[in-house]
Amino acid sequence: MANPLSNEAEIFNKIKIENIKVDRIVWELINHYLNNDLQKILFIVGDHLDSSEPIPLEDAKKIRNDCIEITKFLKKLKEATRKD
Amino acid sequence: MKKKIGKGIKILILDDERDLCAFMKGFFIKRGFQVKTALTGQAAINLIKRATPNIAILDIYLCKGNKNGIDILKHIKKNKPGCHCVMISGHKEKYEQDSFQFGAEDFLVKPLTIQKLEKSINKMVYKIKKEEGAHG
Repeated sequence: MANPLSNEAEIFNKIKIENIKVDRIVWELINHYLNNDLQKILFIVGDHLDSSEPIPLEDAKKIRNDCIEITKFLKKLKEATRKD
Repeated sequence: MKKKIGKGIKILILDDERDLCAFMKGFFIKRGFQVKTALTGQAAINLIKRATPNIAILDIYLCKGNKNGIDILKHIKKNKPGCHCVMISGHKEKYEQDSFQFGAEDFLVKPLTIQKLEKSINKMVYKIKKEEGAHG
């Protein structure tokens, strides 16, 4: 997990006070793309951890690919939703 | 060596993500299950016509085809009521109630670990074995 932002509590408080909402349509996208890519990573890693086996190169490539796809999606979403 | 808990049990997996389908197929084959996969709702219906699965793992939101996992759940419960259905979706609030209303045995929220899915499938196996025992 990333280090928590120093002003994280402040940000969450602002979201609460100003009632900042993310449109359902944006959540649809997030759910679809992030969940499916995270799902693949969780499955691959979980299986190898369960059997105490190292992750083969092929699976490592799949994980890297899923991470790249997540990054691309976040970039696209940011460009589509930014205000300034 | 994995314990072959699934010996003699047929699983149908419906997921339009090819990689996820392939992964789940391999995972459950290693545990002794007979596994068929479908990338669309229509493909799942065609497979169900040919052989009755004991368990169906149904992803609800499908980008391919015009049927979703709930449509397939309804189809299974109408035509193969003995099949146990495990639904998977990232939209708990949207689909969980409908899933149970139409007869699903379990509802899992994406993203989930493979251990959570395995636990759910093991529960179905237990139910199936219990039913088989009850029917002699």
